[in-house]
Amino acid sequence: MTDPVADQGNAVAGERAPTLDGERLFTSYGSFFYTLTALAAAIWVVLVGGAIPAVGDTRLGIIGFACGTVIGTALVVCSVALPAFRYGVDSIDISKAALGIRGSGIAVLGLIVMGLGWAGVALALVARGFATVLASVGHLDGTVVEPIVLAVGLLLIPLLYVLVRHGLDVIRRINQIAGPALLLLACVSLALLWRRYGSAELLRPNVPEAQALTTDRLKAFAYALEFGVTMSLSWWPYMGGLYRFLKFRRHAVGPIMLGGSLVGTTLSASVAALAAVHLGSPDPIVWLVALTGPVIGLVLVGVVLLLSIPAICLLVYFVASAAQQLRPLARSSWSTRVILATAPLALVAFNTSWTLSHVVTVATFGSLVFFSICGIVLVDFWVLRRGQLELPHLFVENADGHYWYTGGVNWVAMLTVAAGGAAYLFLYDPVSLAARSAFRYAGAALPVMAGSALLYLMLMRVFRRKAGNANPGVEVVKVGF
Amino acid sequence: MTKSPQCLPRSSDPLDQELAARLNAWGDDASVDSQQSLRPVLIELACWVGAAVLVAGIAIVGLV
Repeated sequence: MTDPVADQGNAVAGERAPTLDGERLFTSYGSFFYTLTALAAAIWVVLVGGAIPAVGDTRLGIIGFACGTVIGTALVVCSVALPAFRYGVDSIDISKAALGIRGSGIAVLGLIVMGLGWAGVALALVARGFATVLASVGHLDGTVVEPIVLAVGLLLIPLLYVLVRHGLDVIRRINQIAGPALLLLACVSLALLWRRYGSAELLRPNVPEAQALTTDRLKAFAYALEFGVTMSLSWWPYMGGLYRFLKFRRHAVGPIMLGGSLVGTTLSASVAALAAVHLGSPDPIVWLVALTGPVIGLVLVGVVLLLSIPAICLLVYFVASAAQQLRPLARSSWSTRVILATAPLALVAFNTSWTLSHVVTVATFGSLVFFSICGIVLVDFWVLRRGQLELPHLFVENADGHYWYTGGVNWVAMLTVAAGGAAYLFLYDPVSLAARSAFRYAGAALPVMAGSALLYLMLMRVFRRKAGNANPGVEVVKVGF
Repeated sequence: MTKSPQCLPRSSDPLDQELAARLNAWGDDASVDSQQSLRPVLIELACWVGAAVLVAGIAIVGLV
């Protein structure tokens, strides 16, 4: 007799191959909307929301952030989500046409670093949050908080394993509850802030000038735009994994723009930003208690923390899926890869403070690579390949494949990614937030992405033509226009 | 649509066989939504970007 869980695991493992129409899980607007909302509005949004007032003008910051998330999301949808929807494969497989079969390893590495990094940060926030709530409810002294953090963190690991082992469908079902609940909480929180401060006062206060990143208002807008764009572009490695399960074309834009970008990211981050500037902290433990009192506040904080677990599950799911791209794990079972993806999180439980102070930096640098890759894959698919991929060749791992390039790597794309990363760090330091004067016109991510796309197009035109169109994959699309 | 090329691994491994079967099945039904033109989606995305750029422009002119 077959084990249904193991069967589902095999199905998930086999699903690196294209998802067929009957296997697509997101069949309604609501199911996709709530999954994207739950992913965007999880606990990490307080870190982003807390940074918005630092631009110097909260109102300008929120508007710039909203515009940035919409523009960044649109670019991600064009670059990877639509090809993934069409061909039923994830972001890593889509990137192989541009980066090369082996060159896509850079995207796998970025996805694993960023996915595990943000899952670790969220786990640390949830564990510390639950410990603080429990310590407050039990009137415990500070010495017992750390053991509670460890206990909560270690309890979450097997829970994540059990949920992710059952595959995306279970996570999707949980998100049907988490998504609306997070949406409701964000609206209630905003209404409470509104009631306390009134519409005129709510958007007025700013951080003191000495604490602001800049006094130049155009640069302040560029900072906010940058926060929004980078937040959206960091979704690049995950979007393919979700869109390959989307059934209908009519749901390709609305759910991600409304649920992922405007409600999940912008509304939730704006509430955290307004709370931070009015009540001194973006941490919901502080402002929800201040707004609703200690009893209701702690209950709501507990709910927020609980609702962040499905988003962590999604990240672990993406990491476990991407791990199949690594040769030693290519034929491993789904359960093995889920164990390998959750195991590093146990280390987080022992070092939550260290995780929060260091891993955010690692995850931030891990996401840098995707700014250039987003531009490269976008022009490769829509301009060079005219919106067509040779699907079987994404799975050919030898020189007979059309996306093999030289040694399995498209060195033109690698050079462009390296140049894009260097240009980004030249313009803007995402950790210290120090920026060059040119940053004030459009931030750093958008110019770097556009520059990478143009550089890639030019280099592909020059080098592929010189090579006599030796690569059949490129010959098909007639590089050189 | 190109069917599985000769260079794909041909082994008795269930995953290889599943991959080959799916690649052969993929794209067989041209009426499914994922095989339709993506142009309406691109137009919808362009509208969203246009709206965001418009709002950004108004904010820069009005607030900066």
